Amino acid sequence: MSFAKHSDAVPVDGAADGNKYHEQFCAELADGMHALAQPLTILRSAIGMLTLPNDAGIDRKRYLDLSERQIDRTCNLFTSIQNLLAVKMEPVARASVSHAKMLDRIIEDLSTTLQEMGIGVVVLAPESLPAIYCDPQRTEQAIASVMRAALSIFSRGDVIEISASRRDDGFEFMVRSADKQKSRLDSSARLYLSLAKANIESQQGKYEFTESPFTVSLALPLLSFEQNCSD
Amino acid sequence: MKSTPRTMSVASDSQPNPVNEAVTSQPENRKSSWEYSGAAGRRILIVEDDVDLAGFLQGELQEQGFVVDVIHDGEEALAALEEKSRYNLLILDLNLPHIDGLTLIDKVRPQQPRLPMLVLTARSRIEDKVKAFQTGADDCLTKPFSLAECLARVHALLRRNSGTVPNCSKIGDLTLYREERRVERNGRRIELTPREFAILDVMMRNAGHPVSRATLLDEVWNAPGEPSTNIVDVYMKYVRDKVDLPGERRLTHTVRGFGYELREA
Repeated sequence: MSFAKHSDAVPVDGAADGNKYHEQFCAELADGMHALAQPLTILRSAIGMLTLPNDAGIDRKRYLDLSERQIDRTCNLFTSIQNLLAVKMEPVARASVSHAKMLDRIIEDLSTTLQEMGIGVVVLAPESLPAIYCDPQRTEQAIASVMRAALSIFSRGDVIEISASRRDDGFEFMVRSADKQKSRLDSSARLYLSLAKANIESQQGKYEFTESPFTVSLALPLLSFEQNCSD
Repeated sequence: MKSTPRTMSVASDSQPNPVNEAVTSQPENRKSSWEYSGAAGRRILIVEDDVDLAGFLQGELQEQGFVVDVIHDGEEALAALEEKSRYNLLILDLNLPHIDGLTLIDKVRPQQPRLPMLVLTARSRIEDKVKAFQTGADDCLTKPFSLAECLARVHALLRRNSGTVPNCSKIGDLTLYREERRVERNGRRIELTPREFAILDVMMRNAGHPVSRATLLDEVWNAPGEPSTNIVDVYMKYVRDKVDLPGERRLTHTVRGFGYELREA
């Protein structure tokens, strides 16, 4: 597969870089496949139960509900894998982005889930922060993916803290929790984090992750408008 | 069969349940589960990092009558497996946090050489499966697998490793067939609920020896410790009423202050 050649997402200066990039991509794809295998196992089993004769005493509703949840999960994972491929294959865009509007959109999209799960969100982003030049879609997708990964291990009453701040050499979004989580990241959550990482690194940004307490830093280089124009 | 309506129970037990059981109630029409032999009191540990899948498997195996614990982390699983003979079967994923599945097998196998281990993996390469077998796994199932196949393998592994528990146990004219979940006495078919069957199964395995109430509570209800209710006595009476009919030689005996014993005299 020659994804590296077609993409300007990550510079490929030599064979070593190319191999590293290829290995990383394969690892991410393997994560995706592994994540997909979980809901597919439940789906396959639930469908198997549903095909038993009516008199088998099967609680059909239970298996239908299970199937519905796992189909949603499969679709989300499938979309994530598609997004991961797009990050690798498509060119990076640049635009001026308001961090406040972007964070509002992400939280709005997740508001129902957050409410249902009883998880709070605190946003720490000074209004005085300048607009950032970045790929809006990739950056938003990165933060949203981190949020989704966080949701998989946060419990009712937990609070997710999202901050945006200016650093000397760039701009940093951070998603974290003050408390240690009891749950561990599963393969779906790891795929979400892989997607976040790919989105940020494709913009020459830096991704850092600590599992407990959950902390993800997404740092983007500070680019001037002229720099972006010359890209 | 008692006519009192059931309030809450595990599997399809149709008698009143004297204690508020911790296990999730099941729908009335759910066919039991304990159709397979030897599930009663058998403990299975599932080590799987996917919460949904682990929960699903746990529910289905509980439906089968197994006692099932779930752990999502390799390190915690290792600690849980330190107690030898606690589990009759280990089901584990290879991709686990902190200690991966292969390392877990490698560490547990020397300590528990007879513990059957079923590996679940999303890796379909032959090399991965061979490595799992070489490390000490007894069986390997590739995701996405079907529940039916998984259950069949679980029963096969337990059957293979249950040399001390034959399919058929006999004491006097009482015979218990585990595979068929059938009990007969002198040609008379005895209909037992899953719970009663489990009690008789434990008693038959220990025929000629007294079995304590605590042991029955632990093996049948998965509730270790001294019984604080008379649940064991209540269910034992149900069993006794069905096994020892008036005029038949008594096989179930009370061991005062301790429990019960199944013996001919």
